[in-house]
Amino acid sequence: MAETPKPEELFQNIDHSLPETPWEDVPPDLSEGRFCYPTKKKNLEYLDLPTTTGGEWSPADEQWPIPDNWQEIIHQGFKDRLEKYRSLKVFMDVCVRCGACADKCHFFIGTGDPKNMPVLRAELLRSVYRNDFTRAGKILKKLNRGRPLTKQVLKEWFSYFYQCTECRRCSVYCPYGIDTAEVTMMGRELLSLLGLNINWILEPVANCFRTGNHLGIQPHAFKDMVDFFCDDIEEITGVRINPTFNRKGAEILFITPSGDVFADPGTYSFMGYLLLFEHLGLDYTLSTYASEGGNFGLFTSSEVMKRLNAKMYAEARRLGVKWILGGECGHMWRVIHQYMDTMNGPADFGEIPKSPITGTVFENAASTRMVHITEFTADLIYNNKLKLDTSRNDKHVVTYHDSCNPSRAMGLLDEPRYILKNVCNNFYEMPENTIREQTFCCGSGSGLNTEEIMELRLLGGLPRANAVKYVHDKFGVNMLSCICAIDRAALPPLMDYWVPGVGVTGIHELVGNALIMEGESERTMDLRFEPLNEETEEDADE
Amino acid sequence: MPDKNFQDIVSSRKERWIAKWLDEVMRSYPKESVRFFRDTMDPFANPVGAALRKGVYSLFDVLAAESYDRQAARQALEPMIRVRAIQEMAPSEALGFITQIKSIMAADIKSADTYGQQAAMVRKIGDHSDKALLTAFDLYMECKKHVYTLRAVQARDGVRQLLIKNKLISELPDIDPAVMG
Repeated sequence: MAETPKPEELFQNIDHSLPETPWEDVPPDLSEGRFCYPTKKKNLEYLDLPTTTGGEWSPADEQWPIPDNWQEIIHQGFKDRLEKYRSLKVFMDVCVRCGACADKCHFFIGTGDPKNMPVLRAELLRSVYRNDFTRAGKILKKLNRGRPLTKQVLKEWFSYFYQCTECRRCSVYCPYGIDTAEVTMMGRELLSLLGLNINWILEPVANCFRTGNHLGIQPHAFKDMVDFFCDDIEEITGVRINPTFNRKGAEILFITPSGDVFADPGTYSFMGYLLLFEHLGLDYTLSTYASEGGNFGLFTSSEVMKRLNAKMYAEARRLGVKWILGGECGHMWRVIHQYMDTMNGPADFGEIPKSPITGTVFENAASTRMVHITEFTADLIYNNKLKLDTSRNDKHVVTYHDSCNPSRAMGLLDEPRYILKNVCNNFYEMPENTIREQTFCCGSGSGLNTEEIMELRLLGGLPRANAVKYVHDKFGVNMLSCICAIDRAALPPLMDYWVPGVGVTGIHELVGNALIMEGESERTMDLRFEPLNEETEEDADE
Repeated sequence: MPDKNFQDIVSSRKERWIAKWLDEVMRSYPKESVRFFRDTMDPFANPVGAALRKGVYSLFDVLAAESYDRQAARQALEPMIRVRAIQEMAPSEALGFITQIKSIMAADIKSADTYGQQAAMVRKIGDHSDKALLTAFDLYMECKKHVYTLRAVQARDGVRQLLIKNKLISELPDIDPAVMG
């Protein structure tokens, strides 16, 4: 574990020499593989967002298709945001460059690129702020560490604000509580004023605005996919589940990321949700309109985030539900816990969420009317409401990856662990400085889960994978659990590269395996249609 | 077994050589990052630095053995190459440090003015480092191919799963081999 160095060792290591090239003079690397592809113009047009002045372009191009008065647009946008957000002004002013955050970013730890130190990434914006908006900066310019907004600075912004996953690990260590993720968010908002967005974010946003989910799954297809899960569940358990869609008068509206509907291994967690609700006889419904828990608006601008988020409340109000139950998602919970209430709340429908099974009132969700499924399930287990056979997960030696947003943005640390310890028999924690509030990001959050920057993602995910490798080697861990759809998509290739032999699962997949359903047939397969344990496989061979 | 003199010379100078070798590895990174990679000892806070430090120690032992063991070299090199293959540097930069042990040893032996039998030792370790460079090249390409495969799989699966689940394409069903006879 962490070794505390002695003072004399620390003094020995202090290097007073200046860097060979000032950081301001090092141009960003915008070669192929080092940037996310820009968005297609149609996505911006569909959302009525500012567009670039040309057609298709690449960040590798010398000239970018931006209007002639681009500096004026950014300056005005920066000014507006400084006036609107007191927090941004504080974050720009208060940093003393103590360096506590410098070595906490997974991208810095993996790449060794100094501009991935959170302090320096924020300095990209701060230097322009100092130059343009402070009296000392206007007079002293470079002496006050200010710098004018040039095209190279703009390119730096695009490069480095899309090398930040907004995971907020650095903020945990900041003595001033600077939320560096919000600095990145502001940087992206400013870039967005010129139409400089990435496709992996804007396409889902446009899809979500049109069809209700990131993938652009239309209502009939959404229903077909859920029916398909029900067929699989019937084949595995013998129990037929018939969930309802868009049903008015249901007590609860269930919303989960669309990743759980279309991408393995999230789909198995969706099957786990369905089994859980059936087990309880829950009065719930699914929506084909509010069919997305995630909100890529968070990675675009506060205005877009607000627009996408509003559909949850609109649908809850339309259906007349009492409250909303939310599935295993990461950034969705940052939006709900930290922004929804001020953007679209307080909720003007329903009641303070109350578990119809245990009677527990979720006072923490009184204003948002939205409860995280691990809070809901942990409460069920605590009150002995679930019949569970933990041995069905015996082939898994499990560890838990605290997804950045539920852990750091809403403090959801113990509920997932409580569930895991009650649905499986083999659970091991990763080292202390890699879990809970100090958890390392998967390396692909905030819209960076795109294949063109695979190397960067693998480097960003290295600290997480390294901790998994430790428990894999020491305890034989073979399954990495998490409660985030982006994690479930990003961690499998990460494990494949760094720790082959470790699978990825959502927590409710393990819950679904363990649940003893009324009238079920003897289970021989798990929710992946794989034998429940190794012995069964061998038995089958015999 | 290597002769005793050989081992004595190696063990008396090993730490010094490895420290210099690690410095050479670190030259690939910006100065600000070297401080972090070199000085942060917690392997969970600094996985790159830990992999490189451990890697050069293990690799030196492999090179100093009587004969070149390719499998042992692969094991020692793998954690380092897996990182450096995806960091932003040219292949020559990523792997070039391996043979730099030769010049580090040569300079030290020369300055110690004990040329002779030790020159043979330096040559042997140097020859092994040439072989290790080739082994590292194999590993480097394996890592690159691994990344390309991951990219291709992500691009393919993103579309394929949707098509299957929407029944827009139909896959061949699994056929029991027993039925196929």
